Amino acid sequence: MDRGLALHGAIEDTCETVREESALTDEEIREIASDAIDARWDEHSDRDEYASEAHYRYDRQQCLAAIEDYFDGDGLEHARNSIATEAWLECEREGVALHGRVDNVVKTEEGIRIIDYKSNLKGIISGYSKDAVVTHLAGEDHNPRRVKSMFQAATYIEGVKDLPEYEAGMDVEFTYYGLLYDTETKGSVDGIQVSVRGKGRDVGWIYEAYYDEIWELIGEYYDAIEAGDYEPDSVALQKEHACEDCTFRAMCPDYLAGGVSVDE
Amino acid sequence: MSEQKVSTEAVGSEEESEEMTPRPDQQTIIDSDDYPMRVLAGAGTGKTFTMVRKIERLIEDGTPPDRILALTFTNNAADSMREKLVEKLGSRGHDIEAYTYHAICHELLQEFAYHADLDPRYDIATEADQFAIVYDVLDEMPYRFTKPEVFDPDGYGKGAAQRLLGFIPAMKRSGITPEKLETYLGEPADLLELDELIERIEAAADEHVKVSWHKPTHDRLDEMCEGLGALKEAIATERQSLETDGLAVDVRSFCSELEATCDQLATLLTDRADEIVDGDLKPAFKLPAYLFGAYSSPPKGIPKVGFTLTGKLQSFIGNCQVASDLTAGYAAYERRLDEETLLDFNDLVIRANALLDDEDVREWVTSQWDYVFCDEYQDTDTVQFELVQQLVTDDRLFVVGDDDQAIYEWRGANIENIGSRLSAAFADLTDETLEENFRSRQPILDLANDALEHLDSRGSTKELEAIGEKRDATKGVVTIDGAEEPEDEAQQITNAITRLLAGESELAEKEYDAGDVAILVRKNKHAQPIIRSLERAGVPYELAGDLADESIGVQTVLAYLKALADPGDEISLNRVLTMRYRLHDADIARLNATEEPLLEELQSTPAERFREPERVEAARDDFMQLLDLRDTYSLTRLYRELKDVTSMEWFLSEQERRDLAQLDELIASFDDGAIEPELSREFVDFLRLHGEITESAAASSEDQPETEDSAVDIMTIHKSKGLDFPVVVLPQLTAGEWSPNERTYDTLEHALSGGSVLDTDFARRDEHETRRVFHVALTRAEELSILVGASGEGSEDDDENLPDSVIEAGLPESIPWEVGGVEFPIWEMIQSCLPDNFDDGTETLATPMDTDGVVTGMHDGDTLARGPARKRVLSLARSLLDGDLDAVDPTTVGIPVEALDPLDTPTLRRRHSYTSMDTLSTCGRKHYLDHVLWAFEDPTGVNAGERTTAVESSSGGASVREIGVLFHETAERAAIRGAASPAEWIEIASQLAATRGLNHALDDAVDCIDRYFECEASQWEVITAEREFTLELDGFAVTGVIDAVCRTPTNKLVILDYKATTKKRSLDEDLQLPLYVLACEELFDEPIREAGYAYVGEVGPAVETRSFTDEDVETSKARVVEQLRAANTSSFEEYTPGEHCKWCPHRSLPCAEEAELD
Repeated sequence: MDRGLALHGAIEDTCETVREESALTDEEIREIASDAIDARWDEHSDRDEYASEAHYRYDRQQCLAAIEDYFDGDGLEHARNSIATEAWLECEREGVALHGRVDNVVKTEEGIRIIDYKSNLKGIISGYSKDAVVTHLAGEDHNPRRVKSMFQAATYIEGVKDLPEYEAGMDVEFTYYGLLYDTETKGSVDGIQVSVRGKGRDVGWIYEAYYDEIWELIGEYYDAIEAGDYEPDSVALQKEHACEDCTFRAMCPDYLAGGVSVDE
Repeated sequence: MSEQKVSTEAVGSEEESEEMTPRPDQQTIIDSDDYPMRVLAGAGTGKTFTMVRKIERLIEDGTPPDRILALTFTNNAADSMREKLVEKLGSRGHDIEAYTYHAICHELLQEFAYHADLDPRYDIATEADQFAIVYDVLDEMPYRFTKPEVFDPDGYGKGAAQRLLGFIPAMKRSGITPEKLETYLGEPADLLELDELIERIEAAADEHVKVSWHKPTHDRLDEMCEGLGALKEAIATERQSLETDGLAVDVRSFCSELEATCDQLATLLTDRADEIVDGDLKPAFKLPAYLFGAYSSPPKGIPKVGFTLTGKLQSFIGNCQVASDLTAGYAAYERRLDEETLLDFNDLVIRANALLDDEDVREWVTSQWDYVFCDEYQDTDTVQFELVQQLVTDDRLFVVGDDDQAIYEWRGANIENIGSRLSAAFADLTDETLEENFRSRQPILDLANDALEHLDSRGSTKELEAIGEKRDATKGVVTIDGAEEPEDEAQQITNAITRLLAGESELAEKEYDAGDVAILVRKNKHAQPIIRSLERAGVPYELAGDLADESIGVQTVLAYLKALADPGDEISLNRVLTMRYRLHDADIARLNATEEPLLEELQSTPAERFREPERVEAARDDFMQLLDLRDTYSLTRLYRELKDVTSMEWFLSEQERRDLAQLDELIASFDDGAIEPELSREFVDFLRLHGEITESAAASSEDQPETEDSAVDIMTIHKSKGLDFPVVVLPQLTAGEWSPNERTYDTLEHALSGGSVLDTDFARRDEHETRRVFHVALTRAEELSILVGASGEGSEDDDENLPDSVIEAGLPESIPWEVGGVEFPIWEMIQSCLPDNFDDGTETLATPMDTDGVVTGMHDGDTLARGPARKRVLSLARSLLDGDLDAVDPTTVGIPVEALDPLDTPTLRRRHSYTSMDTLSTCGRKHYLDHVLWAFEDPTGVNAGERTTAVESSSGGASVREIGVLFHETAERAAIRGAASPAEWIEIASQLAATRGLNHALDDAVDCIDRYFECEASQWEVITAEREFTLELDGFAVTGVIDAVCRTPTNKLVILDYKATTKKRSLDEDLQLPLYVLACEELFDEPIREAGYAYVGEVGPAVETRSFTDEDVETSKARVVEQLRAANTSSFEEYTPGEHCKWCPHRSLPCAEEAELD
């Protein structure tokens, strides 16, 4: 069940429509978004993947609520100023070429805001956890998800500079937007009601603050991938911090090896 | 001497009767004619023995056995009781009416189906049925208050399905129907309004008792007292607006308590005003607002109270709201059961109770018995208690149990059933206790007694006391200060066990076998690090019961099933490719490198593109073959096919095979279900969740697990009840891991069972149960109880906080909850109870054994210690696989097999039996491989085509061995139950086939039964069946099992061995019959000189016996000893190629080629 596809698709459709038809009222944008999530939900969801009709409907209700909340707030401005959605961005730095597909690029008063939509902000770097980049680089800790969120920021922040809309000296902000950041339910005789509040987290400043460390890490990983070297530096750290949350551990030879090894 | 007396003596050994002489306190109970009687019997005090002896005494005094009804919790317990009676009383023992609580209900409902308004063809819903139905009715819940999400079992939260699976049995066990719930809970709109009522009370608290000032004065306190008055009035108004029935009544009681609290708080503020204004109690003025929910967290100066009053009300209302959604699911579940003509286990008791409400029926039913005996009475739930009451006449009831071992409250058992409820139901109850413990050393019992000391609600004051040498023992309890990390603690435990097995500890008086040791865990998760640690150390272990599905091999089998259910589940498919087919990393990477689905890549990528194409092809062929079968085969057949096609078991360790056997059993049980479950992701998740589900749902979870003689047993404490072990290790004894909890529907269930919502602190009740769990765990140990734990960090008391006593003074006495919450600081409790001379094994037993310096092997001129020797062998093996091993003459490498054994203990023990001797007479190598090394068999498909065909029966699937196993077990069970007709035997065979996963062998086994009943031997009286023996001959021990000893109509005793084989045996040549004749000389007082075979396989029906003279016996003894001598020295080098190689499980070895088979 991929709620993400439906949510991303609905925002993309809405932004595209708003780009094409200027001078839309807030209400009209909301209606477009509402129609878009309806259509995208039908396109991407699969009832057979749910154990019950009720669960299927509940997930749909959450998606609708997320889109409604987004376009009741920041989404309106984002849609009106959207330059590109689902666009490929590329960058190259010291021989390391990175590319990725960005969810939304929005023009702001100061420059450009890049937005990556998520369900929530779990695992995304924050002001509180920003030192994760340094400890990860030093091999003192293992923070793959937070570091990854910085790699993504690096790719897009540098990549956006190739867009024609970018002018030298512009501020480039990168925002992770958790569309289902806060989900609350309330009992009702007609069935449980769900309300959703999204939240954005700007991380461009963390990228600026740890620019060197981030690119050093990217360089290290780039070289390792090029060389086909996937051995982790510290298996123990990885097991401690990453394996329990990893969807792939059930199939991971390194993870399983501990249980079947005959060696000492 | 009567004929019956002869047979009694014939089966009872002298040793046994000496051992089993009742102790004086047991004898008092056995001899007493006082009824009703309640015996509170501590752990290991011989309660079942006493009960059986009492029944025996009644029968000897003239009560016909069929006038006695004995109720137990498991079929095994009922069978074992019957078996013991048969041993003492002969065939009269069969007539005892021994049932499980569920079985007696089933019997009654079958008999009185018409009166019970039931279709007598009803089936009993299996766990799979219940699971399937719950998933089916998910959309019949309204989800007004609960989220409809259905989570993956890996998720943290409980989804709708799990919630319903827990709710239904919790309600049914207390006899709470959906209708009763609906009536109590009322309209959803009213339930919703109760949220607003709480909000209004909190708002009133905010208005009247939450203040903005920080410094209390006398005037301000007066003002606050007035505020409390206003708050009380507001609550009273809310109370008066409530209805006067159902839930509203309980909310009214709640409100009354809140009003009383207002008064109490006002009194506190007035009485202690000086201390609040000028002394240490300043923060007390914040207490009213806090207790009534006006603060979101405790304000400064208020310590951890653990609850607020409005929070408690909110929690109760919230649970009622959730229950209202679940009630609709419960009702739909009941309708579906009805539509499918199914009854679940709880229904059996509920419907039987309803049936017995009919006075005519009850009169007839109760007239069948003069006495009712109940075992393990502390484990009965509400509906079982009612059942017993209905079945008793003239108060002739005898119940035995142990309130100190009541550890199933969380599953509906009610400790009061053996306490106050029983006292109230039977006014003239005679009470007896058993306190002499035959099992444990006194220091262990002292600690077990102390664990219960603080139970204020304990039903008795009994203290366990050891007997004989154990009473004077000063040793028995060893503590280990557990390391902080569970992995490190697991290593300490492994070190301790390794030392005990090697006899390397001063704390133990002897060397133990692995089978002597059990690790008993409070929670499943505690076992994980220990399993990994034992695995690394090579210590054999057995996971009992629900822990088995944690095994890596079992998880791989489940992943295979999951991948078959949903080939798009690439994680599962990748796991299978990695773990079963061992694809090269590069090949796995290639398959996963594209956007295409993995299965498509597996099917379409040309073999030559892979580094190890043959492995990929094997994976592809197997998977596609099974995928083709998926939609046409039943689940059980597909599972069997999966194991056959993939030879999965061959790739599993011995340990994992044992674990898999439990999955086999679970899957086989679905064959017997009324609804055939479909293979789906959800269903595989159910298999994984099985342990958790059975904990809450099934009756079968009380069955004791099989224990393993040659491995350390690891099981939950609950599973270990009734078992004992020389050494018991209890890990993770910390307050955090043993913390008590209130369960979600405790209060609702209590309210609907006639209790008050405010008379019980369920967390405290659970703390009592937790102490009893610890008591049960301790009393499993005979000689050594190794306790591993640590103290909690403990919160530092803030001197500026109000003392708990002040908060308590602000609450009416009728408020049940404890200020500060309920804890069970288990390690601190243990430390305070330890005797002065207890053993601390932290620095000794728990430290690693130093084996590095011991030279265990030589290679290439190097002397090698144990670890390096093992590494060297592995490195040579890798070289061999990589094709770059230099030529090595194996005989010149000085690394003995023992060097590969991580433990410094002899493991190659030779155990002799008739089967092993028979194997030796065929081939020495096979004997060595099968009975000394316990070597793996060849995987199916490796040169084994003929073997498979040859042992399969003509009618498809089952091997002769499987048919034989099923027939033998049926015969044994039939002998215990006194079943004497083909129909009864077939019924037993069907039950066994379902539980043993042998349904495919059932038809053939039924043929065997038919043939057996065509034999004259079926008319003979069975004196004993499946009698185990150990015979000492010339220094050798040989074990075996005699199928049956029978008495012919001419009063001759005959030893019989059932043969389901296709060939007849030689009466003169085979050693089996002489061996049994020799064994019977030891077992019984009189010699039995007639022995033979009952052929029930295709070669039968026939019975062929022969007589043995004294001379025959002597000659036989010499032959057996000669064979045992040979069996003691068999080796891999001795082999005999021949026709038998065709069926040999090691046929891939080169020796089979020498047989030159066609």
